[in-house]
Amino acid sequence: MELTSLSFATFVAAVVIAVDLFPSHTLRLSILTSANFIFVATYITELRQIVPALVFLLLCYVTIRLVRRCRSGITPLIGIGLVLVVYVYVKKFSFFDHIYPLKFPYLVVGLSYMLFRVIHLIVDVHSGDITERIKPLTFFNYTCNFLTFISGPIQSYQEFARGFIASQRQTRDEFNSDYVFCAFHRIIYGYAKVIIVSGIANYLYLYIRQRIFAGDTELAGRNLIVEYGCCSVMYTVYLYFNFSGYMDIVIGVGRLLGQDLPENFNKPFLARNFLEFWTRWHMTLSQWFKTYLFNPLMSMLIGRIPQPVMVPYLGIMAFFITFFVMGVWHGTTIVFVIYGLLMGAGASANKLWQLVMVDRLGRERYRRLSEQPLYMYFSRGLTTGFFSLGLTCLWVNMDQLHRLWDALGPAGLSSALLLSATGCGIAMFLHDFLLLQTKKWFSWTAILSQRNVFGNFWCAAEILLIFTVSTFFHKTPEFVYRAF
Amino acid sequence: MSVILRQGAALLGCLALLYMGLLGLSLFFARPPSQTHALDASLAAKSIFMTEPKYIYLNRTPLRNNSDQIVLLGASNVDAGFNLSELRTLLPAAVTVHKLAIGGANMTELREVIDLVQEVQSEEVRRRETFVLGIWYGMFGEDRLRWYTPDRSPGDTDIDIERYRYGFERWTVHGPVPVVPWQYFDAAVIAIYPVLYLDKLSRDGVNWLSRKYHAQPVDLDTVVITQEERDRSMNYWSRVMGPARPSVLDEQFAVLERSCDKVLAGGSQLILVDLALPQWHKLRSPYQRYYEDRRTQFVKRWTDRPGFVFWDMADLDRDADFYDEVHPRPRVTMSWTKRLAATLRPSPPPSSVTGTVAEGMSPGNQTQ
Repeated sequence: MELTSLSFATFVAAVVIAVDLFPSHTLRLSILTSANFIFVATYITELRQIVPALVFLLLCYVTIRLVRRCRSGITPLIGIGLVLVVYVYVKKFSFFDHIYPLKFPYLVVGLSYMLFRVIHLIVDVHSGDITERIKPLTFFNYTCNFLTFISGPIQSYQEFARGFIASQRQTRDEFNSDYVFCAFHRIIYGYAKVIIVSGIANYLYLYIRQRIFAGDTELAGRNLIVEYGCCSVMYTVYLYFNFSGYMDIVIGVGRLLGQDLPENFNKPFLARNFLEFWTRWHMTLSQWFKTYLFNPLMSMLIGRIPQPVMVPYLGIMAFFITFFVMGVWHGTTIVFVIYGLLMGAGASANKLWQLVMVDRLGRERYRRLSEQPLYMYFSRGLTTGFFSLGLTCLWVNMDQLHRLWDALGPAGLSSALLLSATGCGIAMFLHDFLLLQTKKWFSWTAILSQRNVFGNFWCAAEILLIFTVSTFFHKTPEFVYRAF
Repeated sequence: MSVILRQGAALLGCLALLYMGLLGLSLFFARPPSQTHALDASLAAKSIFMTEPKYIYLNRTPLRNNSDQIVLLGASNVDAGFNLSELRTLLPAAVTVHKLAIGGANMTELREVIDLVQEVQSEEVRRRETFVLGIWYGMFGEDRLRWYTPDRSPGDTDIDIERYRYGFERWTVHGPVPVVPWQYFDAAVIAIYPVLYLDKLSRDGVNWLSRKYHAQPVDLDTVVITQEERDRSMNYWSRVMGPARPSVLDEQFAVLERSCDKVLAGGSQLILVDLALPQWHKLRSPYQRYYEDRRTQFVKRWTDRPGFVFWDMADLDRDADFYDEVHPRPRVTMSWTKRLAATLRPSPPPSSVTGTVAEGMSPGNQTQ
């Protein structure tokens, strides 16, 4: 079911109204469980297509039960190892192409996010952070919640249990009118981001991409550097508005269903460095990797090399590994390994830079330097520029990456990075400057986001605009992140 | 009523009010076209429909009129080559001439236009109709190269995009299925007027900017195509057509065959026109040879079919008569139009048609 389709909107409206109308807690839970089943079922055309995912889920559930029973330290490790092996097998990583006997098409959408939730359950059940017994149906609802099934946000089981189960006991009349209006407004705003902004950015990105790879005349030299820089930044804009718009929609719908889903974005382009960027971009993913990979890895490394002077450098290594794994997770082909290497290099270089600068300038002078507008905007531009160039791996295949590398070379790539960084830095400065200068003129617009007749008319105008803009494109913009 | 339902109702109320207001405004500024006029897709940009495929798909009611009708189909060189107002003066006043050419169309899209025309017409109307199909090798590019671009769902032609754009039809594995029944189609088109009008405003704005900042259009009667432009155009057609091989045109000739079958089966007449190309283009293109072979075989098979006529324009291939690799200069269109009118006159659409070859259509006129 496409997020931007009429069928999804109808499905969501039906679920919200049904949950809203029925006072019984059991009925509400049944409706939500059925909704999860129906949503997953829309991704398959034959029953056998869901079998691998079901086997994977069953294995995960059994593992969690075993970890709960058997308290030895090795059980979660074996469990996680087993789950990972089955995941890699079911997910069809291209490196293992030759060993796949499952030749029929089957459901892989949502598997990555199931994996995150399952590993979280195994670790937290073992550590005692989750003490209650997880029932099979609750496990299904947690791993296959239709709001978070495709691309998160990655909610902890504890939060889920609080929201999904407990909130169904509330009566809908406890909902505040302003709260409901805000939820509606958030959903509409999310659609506006996905269809209007990301749709236009996608159109421009595809246009430039076509010029790069299939133009009448082969692009080369300065033209290629400029067009490649623009294309990668445009893809980043497209990805951000598409993904964060999707989050707005599911968070808004979640609120209407009584589920408080965690935020996943916090103005990432305000980040002044790459590490800060990842605390603002896909936050639940970063948080997951921090909790379940970076922290244990650091503990292990410090355990092996306990000298305090080495800790920062161990941090660099841990950042590299964490970001490398996070990059590789995005796909199943060799190009995502390169993406992982780039992300790992970016994170560790960022950490190394901070260490060197603190060492050279001292903490206070480095802090003051970071506050300098020129340094700050260039850092912000460089962060976005580097991330955008790294994202190239998400929109090319290996052959196209080779062609780009052959055409640009190291000098061309560096120029493209410098150009993107400078361009983004200038754009961010202009954005901030204009926003500051025009703030007083637009103070009246606050009324449009409040629950009153203006707010409702504004929402209606947004809906009409979304519909109109969606008809401008040859195909309705899709949710891009479900591919990862 | 719960808070959620109250909020939903308030939003729907505002949406309805706002929509009605916009509908009234758009109908005030852009009146719906008359339902009896002749269609000319080349005027799409000046209409509320803006593009040729949209103009054809949303504006088909005039095709239902029960009069003698001629429908010109093809790509942009049909549009550029035949002057519709001149053609109308050369034909009896009772004959309605529609030009439904679409720039960049291949045979698949041309077949879809035939489907669109026929699906709104009764059998009686079809029997009084003549289709004129202008073809050349550039219209035989395979679908996988023409319609599998990243900006569209795989395989969707420009006509398909219009079918699905406003939800009037829905996609299925067996092809498009109507969502809006034909009897409500015109009302549905009126209902989307605010969207069409906003589309028009934004496109007009972009065109205005484009005219302001780009070079002014050149005089097509005097402009000379340079060697570099010739090379670039040949590269373009190589990309559109794919590697030159004997089977390169097979897929689309099969579509042409089915299209002709459909037209004749519907009771209409068909004039197949092999459009002229400049000599230099014919000599340089590796596809022209394959095209001529396939076309000759095709015409041989079809010449005896009742209602089928073939007209070869090969003699109109002077390089000086074309402003680029395909399109005739405006000064030449008059002679093209007169030749077409002469072709059409002896075989008027209606009922009287029994012959297979019209005047000037002897096999001797065919390129061998």
